[in-house]
Amino acid sequence: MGILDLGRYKGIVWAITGFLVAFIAILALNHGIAGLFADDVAGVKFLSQMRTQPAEIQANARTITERLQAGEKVDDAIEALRSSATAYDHAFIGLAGGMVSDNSGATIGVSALNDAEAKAMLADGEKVWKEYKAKLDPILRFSGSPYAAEAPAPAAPAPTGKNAAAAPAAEKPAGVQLSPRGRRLQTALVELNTFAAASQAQLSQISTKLAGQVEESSKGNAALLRGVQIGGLLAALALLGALFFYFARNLRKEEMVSSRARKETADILRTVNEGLFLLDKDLKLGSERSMALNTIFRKEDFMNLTFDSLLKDIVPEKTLKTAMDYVALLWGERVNEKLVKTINPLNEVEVHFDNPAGGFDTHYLEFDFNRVKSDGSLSHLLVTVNDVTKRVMLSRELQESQEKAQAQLDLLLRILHVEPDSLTGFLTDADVSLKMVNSILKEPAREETAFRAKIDGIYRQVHAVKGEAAALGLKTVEQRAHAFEESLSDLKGRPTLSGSDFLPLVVKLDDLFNHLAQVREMLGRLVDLHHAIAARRTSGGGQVEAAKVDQWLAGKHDQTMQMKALPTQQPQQEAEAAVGLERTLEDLAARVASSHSKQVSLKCTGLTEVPESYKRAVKDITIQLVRNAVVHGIETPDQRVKAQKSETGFLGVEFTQRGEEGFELVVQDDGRGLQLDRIKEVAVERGLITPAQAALLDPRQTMALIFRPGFSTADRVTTDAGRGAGMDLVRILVAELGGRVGLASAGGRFSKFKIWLPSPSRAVAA
Amino acid sequence: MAANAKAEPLTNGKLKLMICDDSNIIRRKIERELKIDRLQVIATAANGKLAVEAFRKEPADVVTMDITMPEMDGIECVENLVKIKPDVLILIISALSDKATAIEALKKGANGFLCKPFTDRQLTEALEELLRGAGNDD
Repeated sequence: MGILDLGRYKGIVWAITGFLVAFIAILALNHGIAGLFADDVAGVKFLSQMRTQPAEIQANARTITERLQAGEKVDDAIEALRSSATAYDHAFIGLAGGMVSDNSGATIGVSALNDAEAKAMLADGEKVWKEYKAKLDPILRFSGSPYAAEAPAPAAPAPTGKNAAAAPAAEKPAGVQLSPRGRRLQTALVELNTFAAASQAQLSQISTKLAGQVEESSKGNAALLRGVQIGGLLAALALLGALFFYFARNLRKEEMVSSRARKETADILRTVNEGLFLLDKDLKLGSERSMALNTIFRKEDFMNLTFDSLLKDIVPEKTLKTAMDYVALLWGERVNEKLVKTINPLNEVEVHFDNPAGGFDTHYLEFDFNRVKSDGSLSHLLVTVNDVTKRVMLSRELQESQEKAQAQLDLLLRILHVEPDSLTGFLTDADVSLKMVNSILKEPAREETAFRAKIDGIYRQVHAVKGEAAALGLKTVEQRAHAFEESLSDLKGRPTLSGSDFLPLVVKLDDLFNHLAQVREMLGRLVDLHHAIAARRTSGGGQVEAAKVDQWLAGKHDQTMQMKALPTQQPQQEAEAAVGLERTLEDLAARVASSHSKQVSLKCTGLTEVPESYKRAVKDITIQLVRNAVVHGIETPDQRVKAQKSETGFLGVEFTQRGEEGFELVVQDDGRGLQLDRIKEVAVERGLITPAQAALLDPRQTMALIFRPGFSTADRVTTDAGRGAGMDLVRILVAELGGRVGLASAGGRFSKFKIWLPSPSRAVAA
Repeated sequence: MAANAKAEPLTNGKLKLMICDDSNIIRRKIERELKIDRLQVIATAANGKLAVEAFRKEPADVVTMDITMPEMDGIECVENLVKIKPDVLILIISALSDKATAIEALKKGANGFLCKPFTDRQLTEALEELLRGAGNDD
């Protein structure tokens, strides 16, 4: 700021300068008028002196006359007359020029003597004085002795002074002999005395009048001075008033500006959607803050609140500590504000507000901190708070839907990579497992042990699904199964259990069911796609492509050589389905056998005869029975050799129509048959029956145990068995269709499952 | 300790940069993507201990620092470097998994933070901001 840049003080400086100038002007004027005053006084004094001068001259002339009569010396008296006459003359000359002399002899101009009236009076006086001077002239020119020579004047007869001098004069009144010159002097003196007596009054009057005039003028000056003083005072008052007005106006203007600014600030703070406040070094909230804070923090009172007390009830302790550390960093000089924004722990922080209705509401708040500097040093932190709950929720939804889409794409790609049989096999197994879970969930239970048994049973099913999904790379299924497992682990860990604890599992189960349905649907769409392609390419080379897809879906991707032969095959749909199930069962048997180091040969008959409406059920049932047969029935090659059987076990699946009534599905193997003792043991172990009950069971009842939920005789839980779900499911499926299950077995020789199904029309009627 | 430290500036007037990260790939990435003429890499270090040794020999003006490193982590290293040269500018370059750890490093005297993974543009902007911030405070 430059020294001449007065800014807002310009007005004051100008006013003061003006006041000073006016003050000096008045002083000068005052001084000038006061000088005139002194001049007038001197003039009056001078004129009053002058008034006495004619009398003095007259007295001097009379002295000469008296001396002459007394015959005394006249020289000094003449000299005195000259002196007084000269003084009077000078006074006239001065007055003619309007000048007077003061006591010190300096000449002073008196303005009052310069006006016409004074001049006229002076002229009159001068005229009289001129005549006067003419009368004086012969006297003043006189020199020598006025007396006759024979009678010399007894010059100094009276050393005793006046009395002595007076005495001889009285003694010789007429005895003085004057010379002719003396007589002329005497005559001149007589004339002078006569004139003086006549003119003295006039001269004196002129002086008096002039003095009066000067006094008059002096009075005028005094009035002027008073006027100037009053005027100056008034001017000063006016200036003071102006100053006062100016300041008052400026003050008012500033007040208006600042009050308007305050109002604008208040408007902004009341309206802005962000929560705004300042934090000082003690982390106290400033008094000015935006109204939005009330809504964001659900409170009204922020007085004397510190930042940590604002947060401590709504964020976890760890977050609070990190946040306070972060704020402390911003108060330090070292960190670069812009380069630490990414680690702001309160950027999108999850907060919990108590809900008056119970529980709490979760919100997401976004805090932003900005350093406020004044005069180069950090004075405050400006904190901006936004409720970003909607944004966070939206972005989460978006992310979830993206993930879902991605997952579906992954799933599709995964499905394309999985061997179709494995996939259908898995889907069937998983479906069975989940139905099993459902039936376990529905089982009535009241005791703690029963609840625990339920959990264990469900856990085995879900775990198996998870394992298989993982093996096939079906991540989305695996994740859901894992989440289910987690819930189960949570239940296991609880000290006590009740029926309602199982409710969340129903939701989880539903989720898994839905997801598997999705996978199945996707698979269905792929099949549709295939059909669409096949339909479009019915002629020409297109058939080859369609056939390729057929092959792939049939799982014969390594049998490209047979491809060309296929399009010629006749009832394509029928054959496809039959071939599909047969092939599925063959592959399943081979896969399970190989994983259990067994050898098996499967023979299927009549599967092409399965009515459309039973295809699904028959597939599920046969898959279950074939797998069970391979795992439990067929022995290992060593065992078979010892039992004097061929190394390769035999497995037969037969579907036949039984008259009008219905169909029969037989699955049998030449394995070790059902081991009744082992079944009893397991049933007791699983808590399905008590040892006492076991002892009372006959073979038929014992065999029936394998259809109970949660039963499995496999020692280890594997993907293929050990979950105890299979036979239970078979029972459920058959029951759903209104059929029956029969079971025959001979220890060490065979097992035979005979299932009777009503004809579809009858089933519907039933 | 700073008896044998050569604090002379580079004759070309550039500022000295040290890169400290246990990942060879990151070190090379920073070196390769450095697009600031005012900076010249004078040393790279694979852990905090090596960084402190190199810094004692020749203190850098600017340091990029990883947090998780063997031997001596970034937090301890920052503490040491600031003791040797209080006006050193340190940019933490680390993953954003734990904000509290990053804040710990900043409490020890680091000046800024860049989140891994980063683009060359983000690196340049962060280093420029680091240099600018130092200019403002002085």
